[in-house]
Amino acid sequence: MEQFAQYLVNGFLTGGSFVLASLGLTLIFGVLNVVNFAHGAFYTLGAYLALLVMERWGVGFFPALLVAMAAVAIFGMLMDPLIFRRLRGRGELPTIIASMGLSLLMGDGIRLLWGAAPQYLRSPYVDDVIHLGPLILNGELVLVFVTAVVLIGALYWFIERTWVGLQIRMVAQDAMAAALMGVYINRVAVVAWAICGTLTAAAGVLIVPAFALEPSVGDAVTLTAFAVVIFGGIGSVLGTIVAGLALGISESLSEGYLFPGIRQIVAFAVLIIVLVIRSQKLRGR
Amino acid sequence: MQLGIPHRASRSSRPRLRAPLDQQAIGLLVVACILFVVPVLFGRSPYFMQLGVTTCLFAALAESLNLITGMTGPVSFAHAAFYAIGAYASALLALRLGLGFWGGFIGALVLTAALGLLLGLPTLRLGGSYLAIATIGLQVIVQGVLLQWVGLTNGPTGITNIMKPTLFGWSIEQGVPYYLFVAAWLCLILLLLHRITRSRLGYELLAIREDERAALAIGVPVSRLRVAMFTLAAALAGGTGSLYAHYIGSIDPYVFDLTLSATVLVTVLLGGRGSIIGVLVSAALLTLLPEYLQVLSNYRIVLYGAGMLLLTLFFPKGLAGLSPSRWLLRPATPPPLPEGGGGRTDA
Repeated sequence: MEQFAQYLVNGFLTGGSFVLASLGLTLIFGVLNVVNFAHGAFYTLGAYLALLVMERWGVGFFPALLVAMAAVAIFGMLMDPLIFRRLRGRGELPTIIASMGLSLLMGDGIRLLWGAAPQYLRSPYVDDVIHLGPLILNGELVLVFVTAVVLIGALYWFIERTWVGLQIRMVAQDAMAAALMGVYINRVAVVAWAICGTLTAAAGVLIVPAFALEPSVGDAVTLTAFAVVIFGGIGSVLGTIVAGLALGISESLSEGYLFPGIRQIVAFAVLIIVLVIRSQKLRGR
Repeated sequence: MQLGIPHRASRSSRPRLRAPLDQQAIGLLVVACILFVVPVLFGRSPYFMQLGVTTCLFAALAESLNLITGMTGPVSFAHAAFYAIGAYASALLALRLGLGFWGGFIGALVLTAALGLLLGLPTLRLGGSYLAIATIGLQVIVQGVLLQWVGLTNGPTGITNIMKPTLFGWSIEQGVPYYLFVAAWLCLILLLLHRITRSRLGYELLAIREDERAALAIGVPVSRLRVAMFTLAAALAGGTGSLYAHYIGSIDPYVFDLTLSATVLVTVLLGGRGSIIGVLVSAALLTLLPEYLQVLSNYRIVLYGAGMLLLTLFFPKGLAGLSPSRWLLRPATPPPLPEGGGGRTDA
């Protein structure tokens, strides 16, 4: 029973990191209808930039986190005018191929710049352990969870309570109608990419210290994030939260009771099952 | 029909009766001749024969992706995964169950087709994005399974001592015989694709690729055809994987990564989606160039990524679109309708 509770709590915390890593993807997919296969590369880029800032300028972990978030946000803002704006209205296929190309370009660019050898991004909380009754919590994952809660609150406030957020919701519902109402689609797109960059870089910098930093860490993130986004409903923040937590718990339980290394298979299985079950609903989109 | 320009038929009221030359068919005949002349010229050199086998296998893989991404529309990122499953299934069936090459080959075809069907059925009804997402999932986990399910696949070590195929009691050895075997498989795929582009099915696939809704409106069974073509493409990739496994003799999981899937996709984009000859040319270019330019192989992945971006942004038609004469690299535009009723007399 105690073991079960431990797996459950681990899964809950892992789920929090999945939510943080998936929010940017659901925003871009839901608002701009861009299937971004380079999502994991943004995550990796954030982590490597934080490492660079920490090593080059000797700043602490949290200033490096902020720098990485800002830098990836700017990088994301460039994506719309450079690539995806030009492909708008040409159907889904060119976007898919372009984002895959971007993913390869970024992933291998990172490998060429930083090398393929695993590196370590040091977080002040990575070795901390919090005892909660009989349960043991990893400090890093708790930090990720707390950050996720804060950032989700900020995102919710931004989308629901600000003028720009209203425009984002308009574009998500019907881009053509929004444009006719005087919303600048291009401006909204740039804002959405900036939010995506910020959230994804935060996820990368905070989650990576729990593992080794390699140029390929983002690949698995892309798959998990797609599973979460499709499970939760494209463009839905609340759905992403529920789906992320559910996927985290199911991965943790299956890894605990079946065998280690099953994680990605679980994410993939969830993805396929959801596609089969929810296909009617997705088709309406 | 453009306004203001006199219609050609108005000059001489008789429609042209002779069908135009099928340029794609002629191009494919030339390719077939080249394929079977190569061993006469270079048969002495094991290096060239190996290069020939590699090129043919890669071209076969690229043409099988051309069937789905090129001719029908949806993108698959899992072609390396199907290639891997074909290779492993064939090797395991041949070695563990003692079915020999042909048992393994047929098993690989059936297994990859079944997997393609399973993956295509739920996703392709929803449109291309979901297939792309599902295939990238398949690509990531297939490599994971090959690495971690040590009991079945031997993990990172892979499978060794895979026997050579036999045909009518003769073992097909490395060198010219195997080259001819693989070239025959490639020609079979090319013939199949050519027949498809020149059939009613080919027209329907083009209609789906160009405008899904319009195709649906004129009664094309869009999702059924997409699933069927994806299944066929998966099976062809699996069969090619089986030929690879029995050629190379030992396989390991590291060959079949996302980079290979991306390379195959870049080949199709570079050749021009749907252009059988364009994809052949780009497959040959992309196998032979890194062989001679070492720089290319070091920066391969970055170049493929940049290639995917630039091709989609600036050259959506690939090599077939660059060719000014539209002679050899002509895309799969259908010739005039077979029966007289189509009314296209101006072709």
